[in-house]
Amino acid sequence: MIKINKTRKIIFLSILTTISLIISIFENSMSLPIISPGAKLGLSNIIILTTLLAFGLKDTLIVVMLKCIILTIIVGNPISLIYSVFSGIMSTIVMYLVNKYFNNLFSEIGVSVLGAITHNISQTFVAVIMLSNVRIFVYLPILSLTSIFTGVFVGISAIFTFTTLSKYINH
Amino acid sequence: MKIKFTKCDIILILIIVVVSVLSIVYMSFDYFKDNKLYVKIYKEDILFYQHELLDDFTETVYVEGEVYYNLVVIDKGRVYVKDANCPDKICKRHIPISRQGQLIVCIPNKVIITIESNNNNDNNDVDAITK
Repeated sequence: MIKINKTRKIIFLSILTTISLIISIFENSMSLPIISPGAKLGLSNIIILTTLLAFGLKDTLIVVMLKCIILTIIVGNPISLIYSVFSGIMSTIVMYLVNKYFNNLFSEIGVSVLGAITHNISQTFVAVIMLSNVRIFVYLPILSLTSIFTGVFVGISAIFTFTTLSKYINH
Repeated sequence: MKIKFTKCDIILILIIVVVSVLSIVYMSFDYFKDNKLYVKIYKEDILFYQHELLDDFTETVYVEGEVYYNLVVIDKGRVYVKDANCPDKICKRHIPISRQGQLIVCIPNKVIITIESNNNNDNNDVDAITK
């Protein structure tokens, strides 16, 4: 956790929200070959995890909510708001709890993998409820396998980002 | 901060890999059975369209929702979405499906296209009819 005064914190939070938005828009416009629908790199989770490490749960939830709402307005897909808000909040809470209470067991990479997998499970769960069709759970194993790679990548990137950020704030 | 995998990280990753691979293997058992396959299109959990998947059967199904539409093409044993006007176009970019258990989902339009081996007409609501 980084200790700074309120104004600087607000500025940093807005910058972090903007960066995660830009990454999300870039990722949305990228066309990846799809084996399983919805499998994305989740690069904006680098910023979310960095915010969690630097500022704690409350501010991260604000960043997540802002990012989801503004991204929905920009991309123009209102149905995705329910999916992204629910899974974003769930994965943030899981990452926070694991990082706080099992800090000696899991490194940031493990926290990130757990966050990615929670994100996938909750998103699949919302899809099952929304479409009232249990068949969608078929995608979960493939999504879990991909979430390992993306989780490790996001975790390593978040460590670098957090180190740089804390160095920058302290000076 | 240093980049370091702890023991628990590696155990976690291994558990996820093992569980995922086992469930993929379990689900793919049905792939190799020689069943009669049926294409089914569900619209908001209601069976919208059903037809046997044959090697010489070609049809185009137009699934219209309130806002969005999907153009589903059944082409000689392969099923894919040719055109859609939903915002993310995930259904359109999905690879063609041809085997049992595979599915294409269009979340904005609430459409699920799936290939199954059982025919819904065989076990319909009426048990018997007496005259």
